[in-house]
Amino acid sequence: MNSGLVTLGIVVVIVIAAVLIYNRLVRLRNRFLNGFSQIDVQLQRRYELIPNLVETASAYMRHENETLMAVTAARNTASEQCEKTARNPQDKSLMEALASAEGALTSAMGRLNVVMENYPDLKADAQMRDLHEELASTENRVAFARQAYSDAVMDYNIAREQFPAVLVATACSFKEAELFETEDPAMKQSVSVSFA
Amino acid sequence: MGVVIHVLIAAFSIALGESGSLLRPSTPAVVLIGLVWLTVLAGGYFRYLDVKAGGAVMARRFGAVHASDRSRFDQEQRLLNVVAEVSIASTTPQPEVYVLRSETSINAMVLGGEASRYVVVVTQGLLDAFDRDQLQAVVAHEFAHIKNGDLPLNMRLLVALGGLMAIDEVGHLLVGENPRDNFHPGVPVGYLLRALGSIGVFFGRLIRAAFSRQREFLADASAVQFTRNPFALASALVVIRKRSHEPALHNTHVQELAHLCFQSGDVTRWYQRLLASHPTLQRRIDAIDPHFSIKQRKAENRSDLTQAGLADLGAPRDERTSAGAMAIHSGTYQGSMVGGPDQPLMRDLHGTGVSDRILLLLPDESSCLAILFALFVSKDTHKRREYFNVLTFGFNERFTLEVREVVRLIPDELHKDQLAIIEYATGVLRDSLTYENRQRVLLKLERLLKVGGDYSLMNYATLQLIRRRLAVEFPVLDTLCSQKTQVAKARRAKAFDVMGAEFALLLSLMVESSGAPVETLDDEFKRVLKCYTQTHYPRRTASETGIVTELEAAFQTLYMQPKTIRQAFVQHCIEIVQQDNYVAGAEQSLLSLFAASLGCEELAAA
Repeated sequence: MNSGLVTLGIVVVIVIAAVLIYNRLVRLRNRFLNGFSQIDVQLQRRYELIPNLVETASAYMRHENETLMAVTAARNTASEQCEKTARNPQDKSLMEALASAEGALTSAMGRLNVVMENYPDLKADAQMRDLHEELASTENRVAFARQAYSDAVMDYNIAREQFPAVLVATACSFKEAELFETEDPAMKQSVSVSFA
Repeated sequence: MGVVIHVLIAAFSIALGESGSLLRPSTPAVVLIGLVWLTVLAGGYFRYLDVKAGGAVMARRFGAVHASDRSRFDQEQRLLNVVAEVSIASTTPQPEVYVLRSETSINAMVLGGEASRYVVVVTQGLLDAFDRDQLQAVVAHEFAHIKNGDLPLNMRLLVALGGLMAIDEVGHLLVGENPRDNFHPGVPVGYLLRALGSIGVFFGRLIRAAFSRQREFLADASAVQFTRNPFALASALVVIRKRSHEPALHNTHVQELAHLCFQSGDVTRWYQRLLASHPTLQRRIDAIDPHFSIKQRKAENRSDLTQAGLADLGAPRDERTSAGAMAIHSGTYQGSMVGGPDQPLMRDLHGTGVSDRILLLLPDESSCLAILFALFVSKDTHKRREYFNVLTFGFNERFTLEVREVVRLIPDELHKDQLAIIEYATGVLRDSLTYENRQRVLLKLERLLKVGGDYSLMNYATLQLIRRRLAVEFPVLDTLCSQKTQVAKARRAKAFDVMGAEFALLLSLMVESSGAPVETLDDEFKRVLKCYTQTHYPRRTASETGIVTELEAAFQTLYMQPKTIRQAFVQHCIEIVQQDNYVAGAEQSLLSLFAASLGCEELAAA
């Protein structure tokens, strides 16, 4: 009778602990998924800004078609990849593909900026200045969103791997989250849109 | 507070001749007590309504307008962008943004008591003065306040203080404009209310300030965490420090919100610091990055170089440019060094005290170490050779060369800027060396001075100062340890007389350093000694053998005294030094070093 009560008590405690851990993991998972959707929103914003930039720039630099085409192409690839990844942010290979597409876009933008340095008229254009501010801000937002995402991923992964949460995590298939990182260190550099 | 109000008013009514006791006050007193409480509650309630209405209402009341995203206001557009960025970085919902368009001082604050109703307010001066990164850092600081939950507590403090201020205001109304011409029974009541209100507000402010200072450090740290850019925040603080002659806010309405602001200006006096809502700018910069001033220097040099490169259109950089820049630097430096005897005894001891030229010489720890050793190089050629010999013996050839190089480059500054150099170099070493290594450095210095035969008073005092700055403990002398009773007696001492011998020793050295003719020294010493004690002590000279050991003991005895006694001691020294209305160079350095060694720098600075 007495020992039955004790066993019951222990079971209840274990169940409550498991539920608490499960809820915590769910909360952290949703936080990092939301973190990704934040990056996604900002990347979309960037993808929308780039055609505007290319259009404004092309009015001034007719002989640089190649560079402009490269930027547009890279933008389209990255945009597609981003849509795919947004549907399933926990897929490791998709995340990596997006990261490398982003890297390609970044380096294309870098080339465009170098070319634009040769066109003082373009730099003086009012619309261009607005676009520049918008783009600079978006770059920052992407960076900060990635920062927040990385923090959220780290919190989630730590919580997932700790004992006893790891038992609950494996039982309920909480997968390991993937950081949003590019392999190539050169690609990690942000686009420097300098109009000094 | 309630009890205080009750007792004070009851006592007051009795004093006015009313019947009643402290516990059962007369009817008018009861009415008055009720009135005071009503005022407090009403004042607090009005403030509460303000707070409850949300930050936007408050911001508008202070004259702020909604930041516009029209392209005409491109600064505000940028601000809105930055706010959006930081809200992503801190994962905080985006607040509304207001601008004080007529405010020229640099400041920012965040208002509002409930989540989702926060507003960020920045001044036009801030938008004008800061670049994008600095703006981001300041906005991040304000977001940190939101994120760390400072606002609900701040707002509660604001409500409480509002109630207390209301007492003061009602008292003010009762007293009226001309209390002498127009006396009525309300006047003394008004004075009483004002007194009560002031006391309450004073203590309220004290608590609020202490709380606020800690939260500022935390917010700075969080801001760096959000932006990962400590340089921007530190440089923003430096910009504010450069404009420290301006008030932190011109708008009088906002003054009461000083503790919600990004900065509150710098204050120097200790009692002002007690009430300051923010730590001093220097302390905030140091907390963000202790080596910021060098890094900024380097960054500026780099940008100078790139600008020079642009001006030459890619031509190889002209040597003259840098030489000219150097000449300008040294020119301003010379200019700042010229100062009469009335200049403050101690210059700003922090980063700004060291001139840029010296800073360039101190890029790393080994150069900081070298400059400390260079401080003790004597002007006498013989002693100098001896010193370098011992140095080579104790260290290696290279280090000696480094020290020689420092002495060759800045022979004058080493003496003039001694205090600033010590402050700076030890600041660097304290952070980068372990405790054992710092102890070793000091031991080497001490041995070097003793072996080199140049263990003079000045050197001794300098050494003690370095010891204090490196946070290395005094080696307690054996004699003091064995005679515990003596230590206890010294600790209990409350008057000067007990330490007369120590004081007379320091005093005679001070008189000697004043540069008066040798014959008059004895009379001078007797004269100053008479100022504070009747006991007679013989005059001592710095050339006596074993004087330094005695001095060491004297410093230790004095150092164990309570701070008030040490302060009084330094105060006496200052009086003696200033008596003849002329402060000699040696006197000044000795006094500064005494004060610093005894832990009373602020006295010598005044």
